[in-house]
Amino acid sequence: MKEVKSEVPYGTLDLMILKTLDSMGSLHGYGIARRIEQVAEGSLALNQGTIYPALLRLEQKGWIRSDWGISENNRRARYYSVTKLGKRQLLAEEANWHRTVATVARLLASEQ
Amino acid sequence: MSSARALLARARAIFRTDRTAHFDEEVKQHADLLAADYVRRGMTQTEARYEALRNLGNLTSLQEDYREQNGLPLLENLWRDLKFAVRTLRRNLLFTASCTATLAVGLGSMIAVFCVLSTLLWKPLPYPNPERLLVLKETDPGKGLWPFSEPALLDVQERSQSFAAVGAYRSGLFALTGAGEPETIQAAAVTPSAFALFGIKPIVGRVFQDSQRYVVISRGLWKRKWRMNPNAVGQTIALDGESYTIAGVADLPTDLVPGAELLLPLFPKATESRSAHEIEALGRLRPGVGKGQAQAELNTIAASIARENPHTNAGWGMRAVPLSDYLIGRTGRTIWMIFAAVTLLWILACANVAGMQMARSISRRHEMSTRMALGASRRRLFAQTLTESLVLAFAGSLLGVVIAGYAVDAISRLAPDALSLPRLAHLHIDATTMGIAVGSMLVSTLLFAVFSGRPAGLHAGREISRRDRGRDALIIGQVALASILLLGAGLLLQSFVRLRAVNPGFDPERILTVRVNLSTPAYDSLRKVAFFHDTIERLSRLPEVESAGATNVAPFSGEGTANRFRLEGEATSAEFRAAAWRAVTPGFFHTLGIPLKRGRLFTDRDANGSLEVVILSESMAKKFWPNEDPIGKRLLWGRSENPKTIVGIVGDLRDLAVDAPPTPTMFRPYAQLSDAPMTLVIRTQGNPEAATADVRREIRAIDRNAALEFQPLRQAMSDSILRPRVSLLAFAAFAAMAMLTAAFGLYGLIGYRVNQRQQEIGIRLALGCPAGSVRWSVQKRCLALVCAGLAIGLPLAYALSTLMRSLLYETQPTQASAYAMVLLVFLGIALTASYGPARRASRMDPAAAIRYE
Repeated sequence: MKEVKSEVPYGTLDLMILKTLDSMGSLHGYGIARRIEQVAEGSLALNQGTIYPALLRLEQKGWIRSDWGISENNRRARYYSVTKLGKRQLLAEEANWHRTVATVARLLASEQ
Repeated sequence: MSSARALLARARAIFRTDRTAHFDEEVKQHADLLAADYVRRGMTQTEARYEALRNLGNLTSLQEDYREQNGLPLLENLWRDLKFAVRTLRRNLLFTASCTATLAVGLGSMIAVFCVLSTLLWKPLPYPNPERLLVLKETDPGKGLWPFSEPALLDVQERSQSFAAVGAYRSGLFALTGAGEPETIQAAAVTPSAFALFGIKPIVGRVFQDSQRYVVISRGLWKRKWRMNPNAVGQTIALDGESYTIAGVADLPTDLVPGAELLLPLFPKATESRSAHEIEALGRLRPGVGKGQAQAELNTIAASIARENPHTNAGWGMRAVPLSDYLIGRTGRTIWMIFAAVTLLWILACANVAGMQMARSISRRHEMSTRMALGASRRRLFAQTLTESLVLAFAGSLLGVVIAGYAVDAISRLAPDALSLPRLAHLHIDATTMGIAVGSMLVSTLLFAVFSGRPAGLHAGREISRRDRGRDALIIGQVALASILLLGAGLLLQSFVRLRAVNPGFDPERILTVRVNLSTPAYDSLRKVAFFHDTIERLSRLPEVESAGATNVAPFSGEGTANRFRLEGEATSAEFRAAAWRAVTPGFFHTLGIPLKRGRLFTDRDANGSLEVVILSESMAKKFWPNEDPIGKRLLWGRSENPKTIVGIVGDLRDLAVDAPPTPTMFRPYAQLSDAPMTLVIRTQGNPEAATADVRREIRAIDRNAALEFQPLRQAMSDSILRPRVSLLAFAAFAAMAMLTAAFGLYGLIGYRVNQRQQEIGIRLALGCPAGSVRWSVQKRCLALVCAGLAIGLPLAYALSTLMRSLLYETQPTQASAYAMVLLVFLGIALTASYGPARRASRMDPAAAIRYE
């Protein structure tokens, strides 16, 4: 059977990054991408490069912050972590996501 | 909150030199880590590298996303477009200058006229409920409008129900003494009700009520004479020698008595004559009463007055005119027409600029298609064109506002006197006007975009030819319009030249006029006569004075006097006759060089008590004694029953306005009819102004306090033709604008044609067509357009020029020379406008031109 990989739904990448940083603490871009792929267990077609514009966007909004550190291969790398503002945003978006998913699920169930 | 923070962060990023530095480093690091991971899972180095890059996605587009996220692309594009536009426009200086100039002139005149329009028509008069103010006039049996007589005003005050207040005023010049140097000021005598009528509130002190001896002064006079000292209130001054106390200071209404600096009381008397129409009446309607109702009531009152006083008032009526109509009258419609005309000019200017841009866009086809091929979106190209339009429109509009500023300044200096519109003295550019300027800038930007905004080189061929016909029509229309205006200007110019050469019936050169206001009321008739007799004698002895005389109405002073008269033997109720009259000293005619036609002039023997005599002007003699010799005949003057004997006839004077036919006038000897104030006319040897000091000394030697006003007669005369001068200037300005617009339009269109025909011209040149013939083929086209425009414009101008008859003085609107001039000017324009493009066409490199495309 062919493996089914879904595209990353629009706007959910931000949520996934926030959640990853919230549960894992400080990570660099590669770490975030790897973590998301691990959790997705191969069911998500993520162009790993797309997280960099997303990280910039989140940082500009003040939800995450970044600083330079040393990576596992001993090179300079940027580490990202969630800010207080980001945590609050995450809580709000999580709730929002659950509500949306539940609504869609109920809708799909009733259509069957 | 977070979006504002994001905006700030993005704005900050604009100033970073390398915005994707982080991205590049992070992605490289990412790829290395990923590849290392793949190698650990068993791939070769090369495979791992490829797989890692594949997994990262399209890096170029991601970098682009990142760059856009790390900045404000919309703003940055705009900035880049702006810089590019300014650079492009600077490279095409001629194009830019001509666009800016046409736009600026168009917008500038539009704003200036709009200012006039809004000030005159939309700003309410500065009085409370101005719509209720009516000007009241008496009407003679021929429906001519006259000022009120004092008894008639009292009648209206007593009998009417429609008015909350009725008042009157009379303007006059008074000698002001008792406050520094004696001077003559413009003042108005007003009934105390005038304060309520106009809602005049004192700044300091109070207004006068029923007291005879109080005056209210204007803020300007207060400043000039008392340096705004509040102690001025209560001080005593003298007007023509009568003392008054200053009751207060107020801002005086300027609409009715322009320049009035002082109000003194006027108390109409029922005992005054009903034939002396000397006061201007005004009424304020009661709330809820219409103008028609008031008019009906006035009709009833006038009818009963006529019944009660058949001698003086039979056939007379009254009319109420709303104050705003009275002040503006037909001017309103004219201004609207002018506004429509300048707006049309502005639109034409916009269309021309758009046309020129279109012409240029053809030569930029290459640039545009290259940019499209390199991936510029149509939207970006359109934005680029739009930005260029915006820059052009902005430059033109900015310059337009500057031009409008100068125009408004000129109008506010000239118009109050030349067009008798005192309200224009306070003309200025306000916020609304600036709003209009900004609005029209945006509209013009859009207009350009609509005409030329689409990325060039993308028009279908058929579309171009359809647009071309439209542009031809536009240019032809412009030429037609400009030719009409130019013809008007030419006719006015001819008329003006004639006007300057008009013989006024006397010789105005080297004449000094001195208006003399005697300072004390103690002067009775005899003393006044003696004063002027002595003064004239003293002046005549001055070495620089040739001769001197005096008159009660100085030529071109803007004043005039008229009176009714009857022929001897006519009943009082006979036909209504009136003529101008002047009280003059014997030396008056000789000094001004007025020729005696028949009979004799006045002498010193025509004194008070001797035979009462009168001299007629030629036109008066012809009008009232058409086929007989009036000398020796007698007439009854005003209400007097003493007949005056006609002793002489002199040449006609045009002393009211140069361009008006001479008014029938009768002259009386000053000794028999002493009026005040008088104006001395002095013929000097050289420059009249050089005699001023000596003349002042001689007059002051007789009356130390007389208020004197000096003016060379030449100057009064040229001031009197200010109005035709202004209409000439206005027409000439319009014509110049229209011509400029048409010329630029032609230039743009012909340039466009040449660009279009590049290939064809190249082939011709390559086949050996001489350059001159190529030039001619371009210029021929321009001539054809101009001729088509003239073919429409000149017949129209011919038809319209009869409307100008009232503006013209001894100039036929059908004058052939004017048409010839228009023709020549436009041929010149056609050749000039097409010269540049034609030269360019003939110098084209045939090889390059053929390969073009």
